[in-house]
Amino acid sequence: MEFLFEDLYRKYHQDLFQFVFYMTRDRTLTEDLVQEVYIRVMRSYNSFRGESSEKTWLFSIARNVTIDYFRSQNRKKNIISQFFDWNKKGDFLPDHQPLPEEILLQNEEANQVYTYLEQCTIDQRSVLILRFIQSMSIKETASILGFSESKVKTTQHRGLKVLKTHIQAEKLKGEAYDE
Amino acid sequence: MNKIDDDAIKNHLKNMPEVKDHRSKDEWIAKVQPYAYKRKRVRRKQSRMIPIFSTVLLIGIMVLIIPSIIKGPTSTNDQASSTQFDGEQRMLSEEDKDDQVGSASMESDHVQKEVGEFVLYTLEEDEQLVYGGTFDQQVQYVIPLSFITSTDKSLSQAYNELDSYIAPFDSSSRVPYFEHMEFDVDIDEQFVTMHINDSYTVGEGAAIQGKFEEMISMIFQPYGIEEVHIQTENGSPMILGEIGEISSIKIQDPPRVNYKYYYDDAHEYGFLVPIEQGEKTFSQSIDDLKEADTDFSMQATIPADVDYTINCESTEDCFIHFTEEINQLSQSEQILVLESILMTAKSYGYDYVSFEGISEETIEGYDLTQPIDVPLAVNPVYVDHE
Repeated sequence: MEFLFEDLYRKYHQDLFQFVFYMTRDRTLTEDLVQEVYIRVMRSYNSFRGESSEKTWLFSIARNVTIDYFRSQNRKKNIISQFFDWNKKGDFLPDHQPLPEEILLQNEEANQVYTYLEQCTIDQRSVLILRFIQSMSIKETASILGFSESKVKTTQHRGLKVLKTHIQAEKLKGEAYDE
Repeated sequence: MNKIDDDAIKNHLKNMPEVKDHRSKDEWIAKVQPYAYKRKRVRRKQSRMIPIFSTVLLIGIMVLIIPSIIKGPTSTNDQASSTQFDGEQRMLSEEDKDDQVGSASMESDHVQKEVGEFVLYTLEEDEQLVYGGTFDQQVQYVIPLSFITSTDKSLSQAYNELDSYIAPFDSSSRVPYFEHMEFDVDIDEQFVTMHINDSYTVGEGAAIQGKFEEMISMIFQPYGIEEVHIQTENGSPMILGEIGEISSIKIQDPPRVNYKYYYDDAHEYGFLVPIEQGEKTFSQSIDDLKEADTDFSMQATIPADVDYTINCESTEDCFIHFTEEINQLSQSEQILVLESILMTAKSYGYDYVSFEGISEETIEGYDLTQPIDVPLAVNPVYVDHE
């Protein structure tokens, strides 16, 4: 078992960690979720039938673990919202959290791309991270997410559009302020 | 205004900083090994008693959560103790993690369906649907395709590119129609004219000729078009094989269909394919989804051992309750079950369907605790972007 872990760790750990980090934007949380990924992998490796590549399988589990976490947050928020008359306005407030220390971006536009990545749906964010930050092909991305290639393309396009819309709005706001 | 385009965004994403984990391999082994052999959690079975327990539990949870919300972020020590992992329980204390994740938890409201595996739910403002189709290899069935194109081009322009959209999916190599045609499409006026070269014939064989009208109906019926006018270069009627001369095609009302699965080995594409159901009821059509038609490579979408009861009294009140066997399927198999049923329900005029008996509350973005809308279109294909 230790050999299996070492093998996976050597081949994929940094990529795996980076994927989960960009999904969650929180180092401590990433560590916890990656731990859960490895635990699930260790427990289910015997049932891995090799129908996909090891890497695809590992990232699929990482994606599921991350989604499970978001869903648990979702359920909690739904419970709270049943008791309070909180409308959904808060969901659309811009993120004013400081960027993590890892994300020291060279320019404002890159900064905005990172910031507004969280306005994308989980599917859109998964596709954008896998395709561009992790440099995976459409086919690989489709295998990991269990999507058709067509769905990857559609989701990618829509994710890029979400980013573009928010960045454009930010630019407009900046220009109005300058005037 | 200085605009940002897709390529610039892609470049920014590609150049995002590399995020490294600084823990050593040994630290990870120590973290993972103690839990690596524990049993999997047993899946929760749904029961009608759950809502009652849930309500009681919910009130209890609220009593616990409200003080922590009012109090604000928890201390570091609290966080440390709450993130001790117990393999048999949810791995993180949700109360504490809410503060850690910050706005990441806002993600929840985005868990919604835009695109399914075989279906499409929403169109963006700058997108439009162009309907097309192809055949299975034996030209037995018309396979509908829903091309999503940009509104930068008119619908007529998009339809005049239809042959190039369809070409990658033409496994029969027998969808020659569209490269010889030009369309004028005016949805507002409900008017479509199809311009055809004088020398053009639809193709040899009664099957191809018979499918021609079916294809045209399938393409324009979703817009509510009733008739497609045909115009040849010299103004004479079009000769459609054994069907004879035609100067227009009446768009047929869509028949009631169910949707089975067709996989094209050569092109590695899988599609939902509508199969006419004649006078069958909705329940009978769903039952038929268990039957494969192996002669034509049409696969069943519901496995034979999955049972269910259907209670659909009106178009807005349709429940399907599965027995436990549904939970033995993989998620992709469950998605095939759901989407084939949803498309069949659409054909029978239902607005949404409630699914019960699936132990997961959500599958690939489908919220099974709520009725699920029938899709906007089947077999979506995005054509303008890579």
